[in-house]
Amino acid sequence: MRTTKAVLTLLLALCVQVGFAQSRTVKGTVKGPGGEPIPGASVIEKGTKNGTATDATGTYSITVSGPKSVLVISSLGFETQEREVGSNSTIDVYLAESSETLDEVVVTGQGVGMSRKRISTTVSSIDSKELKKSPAMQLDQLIQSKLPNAQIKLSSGQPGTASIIRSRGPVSANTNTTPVIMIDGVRVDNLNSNPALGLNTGGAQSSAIADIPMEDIDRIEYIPGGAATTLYGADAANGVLQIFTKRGKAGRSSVFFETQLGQMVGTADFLRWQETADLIYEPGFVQNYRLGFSGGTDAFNYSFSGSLYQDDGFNAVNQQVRRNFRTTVAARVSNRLRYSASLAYSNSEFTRDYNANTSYSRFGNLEGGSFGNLGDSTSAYLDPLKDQLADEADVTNITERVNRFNVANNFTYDVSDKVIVSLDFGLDSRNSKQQELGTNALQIVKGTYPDGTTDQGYIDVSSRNFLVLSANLNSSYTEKVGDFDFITTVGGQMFRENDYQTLINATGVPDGSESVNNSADQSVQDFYNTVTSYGLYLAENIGWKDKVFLDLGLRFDGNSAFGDEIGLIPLIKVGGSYILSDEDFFKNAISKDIVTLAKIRANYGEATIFPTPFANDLTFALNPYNGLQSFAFSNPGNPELQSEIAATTEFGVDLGLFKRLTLSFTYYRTLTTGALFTPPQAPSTGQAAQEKNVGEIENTGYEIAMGVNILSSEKHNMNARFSYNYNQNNVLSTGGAPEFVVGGFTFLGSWVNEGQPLGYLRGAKVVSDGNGGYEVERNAYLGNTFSPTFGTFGIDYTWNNKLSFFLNGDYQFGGQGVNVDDVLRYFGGVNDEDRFPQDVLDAGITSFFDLAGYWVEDANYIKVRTIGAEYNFGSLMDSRIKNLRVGFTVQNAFNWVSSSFDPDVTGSGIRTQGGFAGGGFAFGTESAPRIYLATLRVNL
Amino acid sequence: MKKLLTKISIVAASALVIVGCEAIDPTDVVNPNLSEDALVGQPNSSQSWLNGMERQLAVTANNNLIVAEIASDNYVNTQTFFNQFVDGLNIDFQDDDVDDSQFHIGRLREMALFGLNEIGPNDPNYTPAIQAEYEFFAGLSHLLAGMYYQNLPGEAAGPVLGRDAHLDAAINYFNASEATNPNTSAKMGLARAYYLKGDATNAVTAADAAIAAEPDFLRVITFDPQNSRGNSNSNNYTVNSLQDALYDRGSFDDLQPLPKLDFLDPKFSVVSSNTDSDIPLLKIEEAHLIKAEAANAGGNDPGALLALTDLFAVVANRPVRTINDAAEDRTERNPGTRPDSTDITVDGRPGLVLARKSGTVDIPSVSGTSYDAAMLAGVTGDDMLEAIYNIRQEVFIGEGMRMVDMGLTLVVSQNESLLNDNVSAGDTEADIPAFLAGIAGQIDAITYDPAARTCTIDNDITALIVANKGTDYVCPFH
Repeated sequence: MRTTKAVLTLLLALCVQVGFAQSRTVKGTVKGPGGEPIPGASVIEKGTKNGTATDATGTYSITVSGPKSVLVISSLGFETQEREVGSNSTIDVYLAESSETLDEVVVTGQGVGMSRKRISTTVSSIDSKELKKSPAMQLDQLIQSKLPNAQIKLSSGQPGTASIIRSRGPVSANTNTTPVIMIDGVRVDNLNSNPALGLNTGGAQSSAIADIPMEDIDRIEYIPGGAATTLYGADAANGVLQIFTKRGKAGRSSVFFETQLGQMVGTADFLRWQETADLIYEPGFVQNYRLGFSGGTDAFNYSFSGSLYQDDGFNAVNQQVRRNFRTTVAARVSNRLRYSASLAYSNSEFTRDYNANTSYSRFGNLEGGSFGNLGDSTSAYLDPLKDQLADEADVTNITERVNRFNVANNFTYDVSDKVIVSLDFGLDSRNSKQQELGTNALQIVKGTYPDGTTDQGYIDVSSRNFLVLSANLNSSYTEKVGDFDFITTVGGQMFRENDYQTLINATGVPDGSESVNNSADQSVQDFYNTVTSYGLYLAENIGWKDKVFLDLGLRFDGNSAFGDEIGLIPLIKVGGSYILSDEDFFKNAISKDIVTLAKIRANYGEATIFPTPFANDLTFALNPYNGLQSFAFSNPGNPELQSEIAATTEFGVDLGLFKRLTLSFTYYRTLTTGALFTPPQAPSTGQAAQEKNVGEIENTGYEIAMGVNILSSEKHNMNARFSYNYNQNNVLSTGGAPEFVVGGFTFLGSWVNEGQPLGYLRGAKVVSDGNGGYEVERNAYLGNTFSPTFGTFGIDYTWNNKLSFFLNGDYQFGGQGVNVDDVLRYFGGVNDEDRFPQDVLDAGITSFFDLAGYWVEDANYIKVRTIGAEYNFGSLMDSRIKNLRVGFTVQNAFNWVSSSFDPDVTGSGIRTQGGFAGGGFAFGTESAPRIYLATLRVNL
Repeated sequence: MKKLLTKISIVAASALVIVGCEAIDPTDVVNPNLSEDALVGQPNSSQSWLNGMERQLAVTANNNLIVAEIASDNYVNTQTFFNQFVDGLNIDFQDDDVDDSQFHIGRLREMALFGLNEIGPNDPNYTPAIQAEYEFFAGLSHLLAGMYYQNLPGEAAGPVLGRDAHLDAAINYFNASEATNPNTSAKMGLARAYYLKGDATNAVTAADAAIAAEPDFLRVITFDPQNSRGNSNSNNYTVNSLQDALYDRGSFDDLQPLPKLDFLDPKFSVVSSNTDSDIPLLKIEEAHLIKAEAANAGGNDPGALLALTDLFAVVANRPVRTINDAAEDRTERNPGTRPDSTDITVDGRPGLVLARKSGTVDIPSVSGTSYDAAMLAGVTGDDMLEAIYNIRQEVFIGEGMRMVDMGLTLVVSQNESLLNDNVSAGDTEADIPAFLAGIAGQIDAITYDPAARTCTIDNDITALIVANKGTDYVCPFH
C-alpha cells in the first residue's frame, strides 16, 4: 500500500507542475490508395495511449501534445505511416495497401501501447469495421468465429447462457478456459457459468458474459496466454480479452440511429424428430434500436450510445429484453494530463424454459423420448400433446434479471517526451437475480402431484452481487541510444472481487404469490467469496535497428487466496523477435514481391491461475438441521496452497507473400506445474476433497492463421481468412492422487487422470472377450471433449465500396461428445436405431452404464455462423445524411456436423462458479437459433 | 482555471489514495466460515456436534440405503440414474456409489471420534448422555461396515478389518455407550451386532433387554429437505433420497418394488412441503425377529411363533399413512407393464398389489407385513425360517436390511485402494454367494401376464437363503 501511495503522491506532484507546452488539434482524412476513405483506421500519438479512429467517412480529429508529436496512422491491410505534426492542423494521409500488419499498435499485455513488430507473442484483434458486421447481442457471440486462435461454443440457445471459450486448450482442472475480460483496462465479471448458488432449472448455465455492455465497442484485442499474459499474473493463464470503447471526436457532432428487425427461428438441424420443432418452436420477433451521438472540442469530447433490444425467442418461454447505454468522455485536463472515462449500464431480463436435468424440460422430454417415438406418432397423439406442452409453457416461470454498471477511468500524464505515467482504475458491479416460480399449477401440469394439490408450490430466488475493483498504475520510459531503443515499463496492478450470493427457497407457496413471504417455510443460504490479487511488474522492450527486439518482463504476484506459507510468486517472461525481411541480405536474395515480410519470434513466459478463495483455510460448517445447530467437518485446509503456474514456450514465424498473403505460424508448449487438483481423500478418512497444487498438465500445439487478398481493384475487393489450430492436452501427473471427476454423470463422466486429456470422457466400454463374446471394460477412455483441431474462416467481398457480402464460420475436428438425449430415449425404448450392435444386446449387455461407450460420438463440425450483405448508400440529401447503410444478416446460417447432436450445446459439462468446463454432454437444451435480421443505419 | 484544475487533481488524487487504501487493502479478506476455534472449547459445542452427527446419519443413509435396496430383490431400477451396477450384482470397486457408501460410513466414525476426543472433553457442558450418543455413533459406523462389507478399513487410511472385527468394534462401542448412559439404541445395536456375528445367546439377551426397556422402541433417521444443499452426491444433501426414489416423481427416479411387496410401497412419502419421511434406523421389531430366528435355530418353533406373535402386535400398532399415489405408474415410462391392480395375484396370493390410480392408498410407514399368527400356526423348521425371512423382508423394506439378509457385501473402493497402502487386491474383489451369482441378472425378475392377471416372481430369493442357510453368507444362527 505504501508503494501505491508513493506513486500517487508523485503523480499528484506532477499534476501541480502543469507544463506549458502547446497542445493542438489535428484533423484529417485517411484514404486508401484509390482515394476511398478508410473508416476505423487508428490514429495514435506515438509513444502514448492517446489515440482515435477514423469515422465512416475516414476523417479523424486528435489533440496532441505539441508540434513534435508524431501521428502513427494504421489500419489492417494497409502500410502504417508516421507523420510529424509540426505546424500542420490538417494532415490527410494516403495509406498504401499492405499484406503485413507489423506496425499496428496493440496494448493488451504490454503495459503500454506497442507496435506488433516489437513483441514476440501473438495478439489478435477485431476492429470496429469487422464488429459492425455482426448483429450479435452478447460478447461471446460477437467474437465467435472472428478470432483466429479462439473457439467459442454456446452451451445453449436459451438467452443469457454460458459459453466455452478456449484457445490453447485447458491449462487448469480447477477452472474453465474463459479468458480475463477487460474494458478499457478495467476487469469485468467473466463468470461464464452458473454462480455457486444459481438456480438448478435442469442445467441452464447463466453467464455474466452475456450481459457485458456492448455499446460503442471500437476494438477488441485477445491474447491467448503464455508470455503475453505474464504481466497480468493472477488468473491470466487462459488469456486476456480486452475491449476498447470509442471516443468522440472534435468537430461537428455526429448522430447515428440504427434499427434491426427480424425473426428468430429455432433450428431443427440437430433434432431427433422434426415433430419436436412443430410442437414447441414458434418464430419470434427480434427488434433492436440503437441511438448514438458524439462530438466535442479540442479539450473535451464525448460519445453516447444506447440501445433497446427485445426478442420473443423461438419458443413460448425463452425471451429476452436488453437495455444498454455507454457514455465516454475524454478531456485534456492540462497540457500534460489527459483523462478519459467510460460509463456503461446494462439491464437484461431473460426468461428460460427448463432443461433436461429435470423432467420438467419440455424440449428434453420430447427429445429424450418421454413422449415416445414422435416420428411415428399421429396427429391424434401430437395435437393434444401440443396443447399439453402449451399449458406447461403457460405456467413455466423462470426469470433472470441483471443490472450492471461498468466504469473505467484513465489518467495519462506526460512527464516528459520520454516518460508517461498512466493510471487505469474502475469497477464492474453486476447484480443478478434468478427466480423460479414452481407453482402448484406447474407441478400438477407436469405430473409431479395429483390434481387438487395446493401446498407444494415453491419459489426459489438466487441473487448474486458481484463487484470487481481494479487499478493499474504504470510508468513507461522510452529512450534511444545509438542503434538501440528501449521501452521500460514499471507498474503495479491489483484487483479485488467481492461475490456475495444468496439462495432463498420458499415452500408451501400458494399459487398467485411471487413473494417468498407467502409460504409455509423458507430457508436461505449464502455464499461469500472475496479475493484480492496484487502484483508489481517490470518490463523492458529493447529494439536494435528496428528489426531485432528483445522483450523481457518480471512480475511478483500476490493473492489473498494463497495459503499462509506462501508469499509473492515471481513470474518471468523472455522473448525476442527478428524482422528478417528488413535485412539487406534477405532483400538481395529474395524479391520484395515474393516475400514482403519475414519475422521470426520466440518467447518463454509464465502466467497463473489463482486458487479458489478460502480453499486454503481449515474450516468447519454449521449447517441448519431441522431448526438445530449442527456442526460438520468442512474444508480440510492447505497452508501451502498457491497459484498454478502455466509456463509457455513458443516460437513462430510471420510471413507476407506475394503482397497478397499473410501467414502466421506459432508452436507452443504450455506446462502447468502445481496444477490445482481437488482429488478425493481416502474414503476412510471421511474428509472432503482438498484443493492442492499436485498436478502437471501439458498443452502442446500450433496455430496457423492465413489471410489472403483475392481481388484488389478499383471496383472489386475480396479477402479471405482461415485459421487452423491444433492442441494436444495431456495430464502428465496427478501427483499420486486418484483420478477425479470434473463433470458429467455417474454412468459417463468427465474425469482427470494421468495420461489422459483433462476432462476426458470416462465410462464403460464393451470389448471383445477374445472368445467371440463380449465383456465390459469399466472406466475406459471414451473420448476427449476438447477437439484437438479447430479454427475459423471468413470471406468478404466489396463492390465499388458500396455493396459488400461477408461470411464467417468455424470448425472443429477430432473431439467427442455424448448424446445424452439418446440415453434418455433408451429408457423409453425409443433410442436411435443401430446405436448398439445387436449381438452385444443379445449377450445380455443392456444396462445403460455398460452401454455408455455407444453414446459417445465424434463431434466434428463446420458451422457458418454469419452470412450477410450490406449496401452503403454513402452521403445523401446534400450530406445532411452523412451515411446510410442497409444490411441483412443470417446468424447460425448453416451447420454441418458428424454427430447426431449439436456439439456446441451442453446440458452438463460446465461446473458452477467458474469450475472446469469441458462440455461434451449434449442434451435437453435447444441450440442457438437461426436469426434473420435487417439493419438500417443512418449517420447524421 | 489552471488553479481550479490543480485543486481538482489534488482532491481527486487524495480521494483516490484514501479510497484505494480502504477499499483495496489486500489484508481485508475475511473467510466467513468457521475455524476450529469457533467450535472446539465452546459451550454446548458437544450438543451441536451431536446434531451434526444426526445430520450425517441422514447423508450416510442416502448413500447406503438406495444401493442396498437396488442390490436386493426389493426394488428393480427401471430407468433411474441411481446405481445400475448392483441390480445385476455387479459389485465393482470402481463404482462411485460404493466409494460414497464407505466414505459416509467413515465420516460418521470420524465425526464420532472427533466428538469423543476433541469436542466433548473441551465443552464445559458435555454430558454422559451426549458421550453415550458419540459412542453409539462410533459403534453404528462399525456396525454398518460389518453389515455392508466383508472388509473395510476401520480407521482413517488404516488397516483393513474383516467383518467380525468391525462387529466386535461395534459391540465394544455399544457396550461403552450402555456403560456411559444406558440407552435402547445401544441395546438394539448390540442385538444386531451379535446377531450378525451368529452369537444367538448374546443377541437374544440384548434383544430382551431392549424389549424390556422400550417395548415400542423406534429410532429414526430424520431428513431436512428444506435445508438440503447441493445435488444428491453432495455431503450436504439432506433430502430423503429414498423417498425421492420411491414416491416423488419427476427426476429419473423410478424404482419399482417386487410385486409381492407392492402393498408396502412407497414406505416413505410426502409429509409436507418442508418435511420428508423419517426412515427407521433401529426398531424393536428386530428384537422379536432375532428372538424368533434364534428359537427356530434352536428347534423351538413354538417359541419362534410366540416371538412373531409379539412382533405382529408391535407392527399392528405402527402408523399407517393414507396417501395419494395417483401420480405413480408401474412403470412411469411404460404404464401397465408391471402389476398395478388389486385383482392381480402374485405367486397365487391376492391382496399384495394396490390400485393407485383410484383414490388413496394406505401404506405402513414403519413396519408392515402380509403375515399373521394364524398363517404360521403349525409351521416348523425351514418353512418357519422362510416365513421369518419373508417377514424380515416386509418389515425392513426400505431400511437396507434385505441386502444383508441375502449375504451381499460391497468391496473396498478404488480410491481407498489407491490412497491406503493397507488395502490388498483381494479387498477390492466382490464375494457374491454362489446361489445368487448364478441368477445375478434375474434377482428381481418377474413374469407378468396382464391378461391372466397373474404375476410370478421368477426366483424366490427367500427360499434360496434358507436353502443355503449353512453357508457363511446368510442365516447367521446356522
